[in-house]
Amino acid sequence: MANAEPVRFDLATGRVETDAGERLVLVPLPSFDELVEWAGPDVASRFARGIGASIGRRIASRLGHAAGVRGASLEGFVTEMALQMALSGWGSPSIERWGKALVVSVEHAPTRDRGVVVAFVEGALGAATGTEVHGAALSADGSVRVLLTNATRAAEARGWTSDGVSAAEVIARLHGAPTGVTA
Amino acid sequence: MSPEDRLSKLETLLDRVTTRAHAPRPMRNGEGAAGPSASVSVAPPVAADPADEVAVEISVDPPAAADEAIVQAEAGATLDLAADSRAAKDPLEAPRPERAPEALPTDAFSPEDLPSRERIVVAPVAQLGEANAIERDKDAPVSSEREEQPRPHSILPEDVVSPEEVVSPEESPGAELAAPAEEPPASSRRAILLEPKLEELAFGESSASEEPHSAPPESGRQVAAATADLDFEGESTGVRPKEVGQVLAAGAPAEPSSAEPEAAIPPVEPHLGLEPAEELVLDPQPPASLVAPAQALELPSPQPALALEPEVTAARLPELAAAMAPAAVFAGALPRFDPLTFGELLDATLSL
Repeated sequence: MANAEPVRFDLATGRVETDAGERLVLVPLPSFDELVEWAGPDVASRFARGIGASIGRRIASRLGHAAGVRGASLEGFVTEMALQMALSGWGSPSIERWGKALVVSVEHAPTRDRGVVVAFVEGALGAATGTEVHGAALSADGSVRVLLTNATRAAEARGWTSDGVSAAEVIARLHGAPTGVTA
Repeated sequence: MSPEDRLSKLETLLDRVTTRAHAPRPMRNGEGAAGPSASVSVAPPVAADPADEVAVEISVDPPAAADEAIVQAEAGATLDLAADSRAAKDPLEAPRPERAPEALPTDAFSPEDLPSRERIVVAPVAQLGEANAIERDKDAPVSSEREEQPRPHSILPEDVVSPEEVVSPEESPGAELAAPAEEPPASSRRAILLEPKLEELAFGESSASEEPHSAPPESGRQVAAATADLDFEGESTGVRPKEVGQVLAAGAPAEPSSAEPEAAIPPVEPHLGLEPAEELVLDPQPPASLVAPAQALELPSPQPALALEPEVTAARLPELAAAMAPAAVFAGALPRFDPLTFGELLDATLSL
């Protein structure tokens, strides 16, 4: 169990540090948006993936590394994840289970670019569980829903989503349903 | 009666007429001047001696006095009883002559010969004499030479009867029935029951035995018209669906009505197995309630309309469940994915 001070603001030295001694920097949102806009999607996704990995490591450190994360309940995992995202200002996460599919929905994300959010989630879960996870953004209103799967199926899901297929249809297709049938 | 007796009677009658003609008579107001004058010419039979031929011409005011009426009654009784009865049947329609060309011998008796005064006053008889005079006037030419011509309706001596033998038409109803009556107009005839009433035809015997027409008042003598001669076809405005004879012929065999005239319609038996439409025979002049046959006569429709209603057969639920039992077989259970840890869910989603 991690200590009770995940982020510590040292006013004398002017440092913000995690409980593991990792230093943090607070970035204003317009500067982040400008970075995403000027650096491009790949740079922005890499930048966001790094932030997510930092959060994932803190979750894992708090849940007892990868084994503790895998053995944790859905509620325990989503609670720790929500804590770390809230301290970093990346919104409020929730987990949806559609059959065998895992969908992480992020509300109040700091950016409107869904690819950046997907990269953030991939970094967090990969760091927390120690497993390479690939995600695909699903259509949603007000929130960003990220379907987590392997790299192949994630690529298919992104293709279907770009073609205008609904989230349910994409998930159904991932479960082996024939094309055109909604689960 | 021999010719001599006839001549003697004629002479006696002539004397009476002569005496009567010369006797003074009281004049009623206005009738003496305007009253008709009768001229009677009595011719003896052809077989009689021409020397005994008597011609008498008198002036008579028939309606002036009762005694003159008696005279005419006497003469009328001897002339033509058939004509008398005809005139008595319908005295109102008998033309009243303004001037009777001939008159009967009137001086055969005096008022003293009459046993009573009441027997004298017979008003219809006075008109009978006038009617007889008209009958004679038709046959005889109107001229002054009629006195010499033989009279077709000569008064025979044996026809002359005494006042005691005079029988008024009222006292002898058989005489007027035997006489051929002149046919009165249809408007003056009273319609007697010609056909059975509607109630009798429809329901058998009628409940209320009402007379078709009430009896006339006692003030006058009503003579019913002969029912056999009545024909109201031209006057009928109502409905005459069928004749009773046709109805009987269509239904049950009717009794032969050869003895009955056409007007005598046999009564319809109540139960003949006839259709209601055929039993309805209306009177020539039906009451107002039956004038409109479409509303009053509700005839049954030939065939009622068929009402189509579905016949529903419902299945019984226990039998339905028993029938469906072998239709499907359920084995095993639905695969249920209920991960207990986050790792299981992560592995499941990565295995898609």
